[in-house]
Amino acid sequence: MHSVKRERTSAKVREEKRRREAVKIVEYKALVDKVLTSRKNHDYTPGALALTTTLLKQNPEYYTVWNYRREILSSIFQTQTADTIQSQIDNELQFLFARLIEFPKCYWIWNHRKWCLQSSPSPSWKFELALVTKMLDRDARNFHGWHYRRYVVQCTEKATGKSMVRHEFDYTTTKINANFSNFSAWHNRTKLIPRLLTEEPEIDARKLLGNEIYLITQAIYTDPDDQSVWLYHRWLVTSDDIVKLSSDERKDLLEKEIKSIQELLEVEPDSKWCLQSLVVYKGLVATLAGERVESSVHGYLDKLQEIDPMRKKRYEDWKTQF
Amino acid sequence: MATTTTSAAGSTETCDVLIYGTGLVESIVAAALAWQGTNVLHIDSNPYYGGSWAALNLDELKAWTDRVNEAASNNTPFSDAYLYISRNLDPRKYAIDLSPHILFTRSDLLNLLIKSRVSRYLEFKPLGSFHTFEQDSFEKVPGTKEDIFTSQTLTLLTKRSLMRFMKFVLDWEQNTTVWQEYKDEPISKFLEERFALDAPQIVELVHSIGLLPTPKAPTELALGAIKRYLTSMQVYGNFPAMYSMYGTGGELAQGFCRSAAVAGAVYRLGTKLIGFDETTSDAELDSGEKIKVTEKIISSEGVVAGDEEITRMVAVVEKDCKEWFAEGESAAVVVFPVDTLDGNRFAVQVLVMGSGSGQCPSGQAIWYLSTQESGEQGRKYLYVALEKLEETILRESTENFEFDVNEEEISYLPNGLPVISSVRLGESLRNFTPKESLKYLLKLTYSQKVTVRPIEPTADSKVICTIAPSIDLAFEGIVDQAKGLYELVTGTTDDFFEVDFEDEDDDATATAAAADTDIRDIAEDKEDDVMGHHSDFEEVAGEMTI
Repeated sequence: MHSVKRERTSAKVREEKRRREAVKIVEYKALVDKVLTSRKNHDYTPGALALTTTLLKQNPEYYTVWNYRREILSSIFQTQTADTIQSQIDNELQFLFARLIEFPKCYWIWNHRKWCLQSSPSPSWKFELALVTKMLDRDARNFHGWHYRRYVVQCTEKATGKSMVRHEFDYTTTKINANFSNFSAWHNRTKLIPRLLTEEPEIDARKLLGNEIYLITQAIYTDPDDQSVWLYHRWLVTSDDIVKLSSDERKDLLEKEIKSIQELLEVEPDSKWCLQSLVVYKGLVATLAGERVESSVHGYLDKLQEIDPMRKKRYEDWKTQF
Repeated sequence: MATTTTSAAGSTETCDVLIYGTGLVESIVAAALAWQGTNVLHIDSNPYYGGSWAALNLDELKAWTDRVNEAASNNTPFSDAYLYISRNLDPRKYAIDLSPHILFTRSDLLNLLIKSRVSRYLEFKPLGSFHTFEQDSFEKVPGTKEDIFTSQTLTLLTKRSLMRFMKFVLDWEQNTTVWQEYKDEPISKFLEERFALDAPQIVELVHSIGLLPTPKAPTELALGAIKRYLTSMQVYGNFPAMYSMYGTGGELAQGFCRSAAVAGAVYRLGTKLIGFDETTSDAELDSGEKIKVTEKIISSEGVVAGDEEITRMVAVVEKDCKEWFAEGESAAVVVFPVDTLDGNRFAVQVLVMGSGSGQCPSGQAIWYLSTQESGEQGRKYLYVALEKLEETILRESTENFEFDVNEEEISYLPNGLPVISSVRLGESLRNFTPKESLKYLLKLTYSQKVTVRPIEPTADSKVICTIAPSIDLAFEGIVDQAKGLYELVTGTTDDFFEVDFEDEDDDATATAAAADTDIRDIAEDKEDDVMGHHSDFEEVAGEMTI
């Protein structure tokens, strides 16, 4: 054996892999046929359930099979006691968690989990909240996770009779501090703030608005190319959801923000979001004052047409409106 | 970690390649060659693995010190070793790293550790805490977008400038127009002129993020160093680097040796190569055996060690130093920039290892200080740095540390938390006099010849020499050196660790197992605050294995 060099294996390895995969494809197709035939035959036995388990492990995107799985479970539940149903659902939830870890963005898995909890005699919302927290730790921008979180929070509130608004508001802060490029977190904040103000009347809404603007300005300066922060900024300065401002107050706020964005534009002359915001905010100021829009807006729109040619016509249209 | 040492007596009279020295590069080459099918005999004159990279227990360390000081003509890159060990320490509870190095999460060495599956032999811990010593206190380095976003001390425009630079540096290689004219100019000049960055940010970028010894470092080299840190953030979590437990380079070397042994390499420690006859290809060992080497000898000894000398100090202190570590971590990097220690020309870098690193018992920590300044001058700066470290840890670990603050000096963060003006805080800290003193359990200073830039290995004869560990605090150029040596033996690097492990289908099982663990995690801390983060490194390490 000495001095005999191992031959290069890459080509052989590739061929071997291809062969193994071909076998897998044949097996998969056979499994699909079997499952679909069982469904046609209204087979609602544990054996059929096991078949869907095997298939969904391989391909969780096959929603027909998830439907079939629910048909089977519903049929099984009809003859069972609450305890047995619960333990069956617990198994189901465990199976689903393993699937979620592998496929965190698959609609059908999240869907099926919701269905399980709705069918559960005694759902543990605490566990679900911990689970979705874990999922959002793994990917803070997974909107499936945020969507599911709102559902879980709603159910928890209903079950306990206690509001979770403060808890959830603080949660979005944590998530934003960890990565502010997160449409879902900012969006959740816009939904939570009005409720927070209703539930905690001692909060000074104007002060809160000021704090939020401070926060978003830090984000805008850190990354002006991030669309999510501009969207939240737009909501803060234009919406009445936080505090109903008089038109003079609104105008002052807009002018203050315009000034801050103009300072940013000086160091980032090619920032599309900067320019767009200036156009929109100046337009609003003009409307509030009942005046014509400042001529500088045309300069911004020219610049936008130049740096964002894909939306050239859109900016042209804006021009005609002013 | 125990590695099988197969007796070479009798049976191995011939080998393709004889590797002398079990340093990191040699060990990687040994494993690569063994897996490729080459018949490797790997020996080391020391009774332990790792050579200049080794982590030693206290008995080994004493013997090492004697050996280093024995003869001026010793064949190690080390000299001038002074060792103090306090009484009653259990020698086996310590692993003192001779050349401590950190591993960036996005690096060729980590890729190789994963690909070769040597990472499975090792336990890695995260290192996310990088501090810069500024105005008598340790400033946490803002190394991510989030640090910059949440910083209370940076102005809006500084935030913008820093972010602009960070975006640029991620693909600086392509944006040559920005830096070409500054190529060989100091990085500090480039950062100031091109990105309008202020001195404190430049210092942090150069010293703590780039781990460079001086802001005079040439721009081209420095940009690569800064990028290394920034691209490594968020790969496995909120930390850019990691280290293996029980010793950094030495453990890695031992892991590769173990892999080589699995592939059939033969190991012999405590064995010297005393001669080699180029004409007969006979290598002579101090055991009296003669080995016929059919291809090459790769040797880490008898080498021009390195072109630059650095000064090192190791101090074991009776403090856990957890104040400096990030949550759940057990190590930190502290950098003293130039001109912060009575006129130091080069930075002093400190790697702090807590007991979680497996290098010392709990309640203690090891401080590894190093500087590019050599000799007496180097030792002087290390002692000044040591004093500062001592002051800082005593101050920060004093629990009832109080001082008067006026209402005006407090400002509030958007989340309602009060912060005290940092200027005022700095003043108070300077007036602080510690009530206790720090106990040193071990102090060691020594000089080490290092390689500043990796040199291409050359094969003038049958004997190829390797080079000493590099000056960088992070592993740098190791894989390239190993590949270079591999190519000199085999003529190609195409099949460097082209290993078919034949069990790639196990991945799905691994994922399922990880999910099970997660379920148990959630079930166990059901009662805990559900806001708590579950970013324990075990989980991360689990995802890391391929």
